[in-house]
Amino acid sequence: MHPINWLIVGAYVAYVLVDGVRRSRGTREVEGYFLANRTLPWWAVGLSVMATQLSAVTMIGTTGQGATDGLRFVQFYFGLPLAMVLLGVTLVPFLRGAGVFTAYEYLERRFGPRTRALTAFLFLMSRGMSCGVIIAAPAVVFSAVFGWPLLWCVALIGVPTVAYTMLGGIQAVTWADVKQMILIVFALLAVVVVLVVRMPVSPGEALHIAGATGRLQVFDFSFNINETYTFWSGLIGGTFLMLSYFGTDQSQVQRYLAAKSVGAARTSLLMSAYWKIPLQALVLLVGVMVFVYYQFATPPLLYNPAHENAVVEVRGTEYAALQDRYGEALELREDAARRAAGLAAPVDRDAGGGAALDDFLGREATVQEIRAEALAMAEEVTGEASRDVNYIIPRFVLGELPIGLAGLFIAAIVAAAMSSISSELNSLSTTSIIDFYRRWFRPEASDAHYLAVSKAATAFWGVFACFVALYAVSLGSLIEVVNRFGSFFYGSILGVFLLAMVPRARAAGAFVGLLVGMGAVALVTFGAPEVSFLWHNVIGALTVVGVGVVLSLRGRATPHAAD
Amino acid sequence: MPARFPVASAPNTPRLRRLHKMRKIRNSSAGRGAERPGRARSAGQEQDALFRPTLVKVLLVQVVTLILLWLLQAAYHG
Repeated sequence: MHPINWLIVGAYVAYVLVDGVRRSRGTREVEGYFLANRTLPWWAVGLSVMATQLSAVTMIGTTGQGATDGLRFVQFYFGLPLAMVLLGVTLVPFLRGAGVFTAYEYLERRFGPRTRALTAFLFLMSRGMSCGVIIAAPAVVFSAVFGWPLLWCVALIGVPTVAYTMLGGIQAVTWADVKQMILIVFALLAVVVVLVVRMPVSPGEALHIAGATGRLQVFDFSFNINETYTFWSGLIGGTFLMLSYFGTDQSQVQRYLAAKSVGAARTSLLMSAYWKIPLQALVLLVGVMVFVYYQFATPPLLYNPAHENAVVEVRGTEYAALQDRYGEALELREDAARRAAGLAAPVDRDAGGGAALDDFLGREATVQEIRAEALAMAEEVTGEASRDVNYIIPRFVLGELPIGLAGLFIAAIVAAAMSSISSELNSLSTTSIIDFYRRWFRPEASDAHYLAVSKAATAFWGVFACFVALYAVSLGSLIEVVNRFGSFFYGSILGVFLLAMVPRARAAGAFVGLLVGMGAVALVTFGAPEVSFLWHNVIGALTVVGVGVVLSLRGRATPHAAD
Repeated sequence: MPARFPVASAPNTPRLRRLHKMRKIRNSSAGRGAERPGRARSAGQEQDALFRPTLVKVLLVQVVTLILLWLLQAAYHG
């Protein structure tokens, strides 16, 4: 990468660090460190909520998914606006009114210490591991693209993030999120502009090509619970998933607990309700436009440079022959694409449009067949599953974007990673200290003591996440198990919070309901693995509520002291 | 204590009848309004009041977004 691009990335990282240290001066007590003394404005909290959800996986993986699969992934977010409204009028006033630091603290008041401890523990386990995965995802890509050791890449992302989160607490996290979100959106829009300018066809013709290959198909109205990306999965399953994520996950709850009023907290959530779907569509559209761009430029046969080098080294002759075939197929496809777009012969568009389109689709299929052969070869040589889709955007950025903009986009990927990691570290520290340390070990201590321990906890979780990230590649299957384990209780925890709103629900019903809910999801996961994970949240939440209500009604009415 | 207005017991002219009606409304709970001290709406009422317009607004924006996406699909897909 050009030195100017590195300069931009370096300047960004340095700025985030300096700003984090500056913010640490205003943090003198625990409430300031964890909740900014509940003084943050709605727009800062709203941008922080969005930045926390938008990780480097979105910048790399989702754009890549747009290039290979089109826009249909956006259906995943169709339940989000409804979830935000429901949370705004139910859970947000509850949690704000309770004056709690964590969502789980509220559960103790309603259902006793057992339920609080279990839900907080589940959060720590799943988020601690997932934080490592969030660092690992871009680090692995950077390592392959730049040829650096994985350790350096993990350090590039992990160390500054841990530093500013530890020093500045939620103030530093939120204000960094605001700037990071602006940088991310700016970088995405800049790439769209560059693509439009550099594309040898008009935007309309580019969309015509994308549409011909099915990449502009947004809606799938089939009701199939085995399919993740359908309108109904997104709307129903997505609503439950978003209710769980934004309503019960401390990494999100902490954002709006730090808002200066209930109204500010609600408005901050509504920002996501309005902007998440258009933003996600923009991310996917960048991928779609990159796909069209590569119809008129020469894309690499394998986007992952590490895999490409390995294949060249082991099966060089075979790969060279494949590349020759690929080159010829690309030339034919480019001609067909120009004809289909109407660029080469616009007057013939109506007369021979159908034939030109069929010809283009045939050429595209040939190109994809050759790529499939190359991917299979790479899998054989490296023994790793091909995740070539994650390398499409980084290769495009480094190979095709002008100097300066490439650095800006890489900085935006780092920013996306940092914004998610910092919020998670901050919430992991909060839960560790408030729900365990202060609750069970040192209930009475000075603010200075809690502040020092909170910073140590942030550093501990940062080191833990970096450690997980380093081993995430070799522990690939374990990470999958962890993610699956996480999905067992996501919906179930939502069920406990829903149960908390049922006046007659009791502590025993909630605790047993939580265990039964997790069991039900585990049963579906292993018994019917074809069911899309979006429905796990629905099953978990409804089981907990059902079991909890029945047990509460059957049991003796022994209300908890704080019921 | 919210202000109370005297109510005429037997209004016998159109003007008095109108005045009587107006005073009755002002003295009723709806007329006194939620914002007056001692008559604050419950959290549930407040949530309900907030819920409807917000839900309508968010759903409207979402419907418009979905229509735009559908138009994009209809114009170029296939």
